[in-house]
Amino acid sequence: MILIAKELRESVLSARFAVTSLLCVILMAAAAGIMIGDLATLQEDYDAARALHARDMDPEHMNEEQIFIMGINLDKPPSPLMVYAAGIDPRLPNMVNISLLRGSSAKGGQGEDAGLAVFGSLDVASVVLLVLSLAAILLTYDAVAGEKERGTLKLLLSNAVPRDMVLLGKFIGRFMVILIPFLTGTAAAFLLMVLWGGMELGGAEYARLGLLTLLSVLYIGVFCMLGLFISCVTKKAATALLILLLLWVVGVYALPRASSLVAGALRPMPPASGVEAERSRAFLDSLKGMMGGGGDQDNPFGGARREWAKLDEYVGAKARARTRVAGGIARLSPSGAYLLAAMRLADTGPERHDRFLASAGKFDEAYTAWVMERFRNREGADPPPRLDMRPDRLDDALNSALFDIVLLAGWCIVLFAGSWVAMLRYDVT
Amino acid sequence: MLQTIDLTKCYDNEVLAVNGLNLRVERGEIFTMLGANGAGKTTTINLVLGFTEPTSGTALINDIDVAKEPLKAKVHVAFVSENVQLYGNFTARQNLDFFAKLGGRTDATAEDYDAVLTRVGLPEAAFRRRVRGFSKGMRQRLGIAIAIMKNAELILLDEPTSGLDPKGGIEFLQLLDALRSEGKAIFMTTHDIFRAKEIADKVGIMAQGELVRVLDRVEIDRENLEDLYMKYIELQNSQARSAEAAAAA
Repeated sequence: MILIAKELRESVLSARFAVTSLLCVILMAAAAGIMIGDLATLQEDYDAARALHARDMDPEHMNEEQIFIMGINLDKPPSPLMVYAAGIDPRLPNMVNISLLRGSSAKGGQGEDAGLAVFGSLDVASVVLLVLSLAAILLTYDAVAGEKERGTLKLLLSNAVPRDMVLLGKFIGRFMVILIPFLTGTAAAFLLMVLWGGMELGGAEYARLGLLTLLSVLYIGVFCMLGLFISCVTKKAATALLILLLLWVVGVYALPRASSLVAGALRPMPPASGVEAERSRAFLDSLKGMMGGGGDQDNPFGGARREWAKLDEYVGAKARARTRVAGGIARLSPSGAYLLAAMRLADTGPERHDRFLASAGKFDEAYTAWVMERFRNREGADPPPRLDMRPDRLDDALNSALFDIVLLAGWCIVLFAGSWVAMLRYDVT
Repeated sequence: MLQTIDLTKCYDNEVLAVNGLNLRVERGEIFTMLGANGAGKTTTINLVLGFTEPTSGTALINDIDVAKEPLKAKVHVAFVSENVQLYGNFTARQNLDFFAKLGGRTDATAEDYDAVLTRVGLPEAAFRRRVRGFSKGMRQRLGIAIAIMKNAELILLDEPTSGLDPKGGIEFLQLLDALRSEGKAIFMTTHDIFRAKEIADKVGIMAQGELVRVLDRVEIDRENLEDLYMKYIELQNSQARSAEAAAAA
C-alpha cells in the first residue's frame, strides 16, 4: 500500500499527468461527440430511407417495373454503440436491393472491401487505442529506469522491501493513475451519449458498454505492463522511452495498417468489372433461354439468380477471407486484438453485416414467393413479408470476442512475468 | 554489527573490485574507509546492501548473512548515498514519510518528522517545499534524516560529505557524533581525510579492492594519515602502471 500510494502521489503530482489527463478526457469526449453526430446522421438517413422504402412495399404502390427492374430496398439500422467503437459497419453496404430480375445486391458504404478500413475511425475506442496507450507508456517508461537514474531505486531497495513488491506497487499505482483520465473520459462520453445525444440505451447496451470499458482497461493494462517491462530492461529512462515509442509506432500504428495491405496482397478481391460482367452474362443467358422458349417459364430468371447468388457468395467469401487474414495479422499487436474485440462487443463488425445479409436472403425468398402468389392471386395475397434482422446476442458477442480478450490478458501476463524476472535481476548499482 | 569475512567481488570482465575484505564495525563506532576512485569502496557498500552478489566471502549485518537473507538484514541498515536524489515532486516531509513507512516506522507523527528534519539542520521553511528545488546540501541532510528516521542500528554512508560546504561539513560531523553516542554503528566511505581523521574510531585504507591498512583511534592520532594515505595511493598507482606495462609488453 505504501508503494502504491507513493506511485499514485508521484505520478499525480507530475506535469505530464496533468497534460496527459486533460488531453485524454478532451479527446474522449470530443470523439464521443463526433460519433454521436455521425450516429444521428446515420439514424436520420436510416429512418428516412426506411419510410421511403416502406412505400415501395405498399401493395397499393407496387408495380411490375418496380418488382422486376427497380426492386425494393432493405435498410440496415446503425448500431448505437458505434459511438464507442465504430468498427467497419458504417463503411459496409447499408442497403440491399431485391429485384426479381436482378436478384439482390448490397449498396451504399464503401462496398464489401471496407472490411480493411477497420483501423481508421475516430471513436472512443480509437482514442483509447492511440492516446491512452501512449499515455500509459508516458506514465510508466521511467518507473524503474528513471528511479535508477535518479538514484532513488538504490535508496528504495536499501529497505527491507522485496523487489517483486516494488514492481507490483509500481504497476498498480501507475495503472490506477492512468485509469483516472480514462474513467473520467469514459464517464464524460457516456453522459454525452445519454444527455446530449439523447440515446435511449437498454440493459443490453449498458452491459456492452460495461464490457467495452473493461476491455479498454485491459488494453491500457497491456501498455502499462509494456512500459514497466521496457523500463526494467533498460538503464536509462530516455532509452526506455525511445524503445517504447518505436514499439508503439509499430504495434499501434504500423502493424494494424500493414495487416490490411498484406491481406490485400495475399487475398486479392476479384475485380468489380469482372463480377459485373459475370452477372450480365448470367442474365443474358436467362434472357436468351426465355426468348427461345426454353428454361423454367414459371421462374425465367431463376437460373440467373442462382448464378448471382453463387457470385455473391464467392465475392463475400473472398472479402471474409481477406478480413480474416487482416485480423490475424493485426492480432499480432495488442491494438489489433483490442479493436477487433471492441468491434465485436459493440456489434459494429462484419458479423452485423452478415446477419443483415442473411436476413435479407430470407426476406428475398419470402418476398419472391409473396410476389408470385400475388401475381397468381391478386386479391387474396397475404401482407408483404417484413425484414426481420436477428439481434446480436450478448453471449454470442462475448464468445466471439473472447479470443481477443484472452490475447490481451496473455500479453499482460507475459509482460508482467518478463518484468518480474527483469526486476529481480535488475542491476541497481 | 557489520562484519565482512573474506568478501570478494570479481566482475565478469575479471576486474577484482573487492578482494578478501575483512572488517568489523561495532555498535557506537564509526568506521571510515578511505580510498581513491575505483578502490572498491562503493562496491563494498553494494555488497553489504545485497545489491551485488559476492563472488566469495560473506557480509553479515547483525549476524545475518546479507546474500542469504537480504530482506532480514536490511531491516537493520540505513543507507545514505553520495548524491542523494529523492522524489522531486514530494516535499521534504512527504519524502521522509514515505521512507519512514517503508522502513517500518508506521507510527511516526508529523512532530517526529519535524523533529528529525530540525535535527539534521534543515530550515523549517523547507519542510513543506518540494525537494526538486533543494540544493545538494539540503538533499544530503534530508537523506540523513531518512536514515535517522529508520532508526536502524547500522548506517552506511557513501561519500556523504562530498559537496557539503564547511559549515555543513561541521554540522554533519556533529550529527554523526550524536548518532554514535546513541549506539549506532556507522560505516562511511570518503575521500575526505580531514573529516575522517576528526570523527572516525577506525580508518581503513582501501587500494585496488584490498583493505591495505586499518588504523584505530590511537593510530589515527599518532600517524600522519595524509602521508599514509598518499603512500598507499602512490603504491596503487605504481602497481597499476606496472600491470599496464606488463599487459602492453
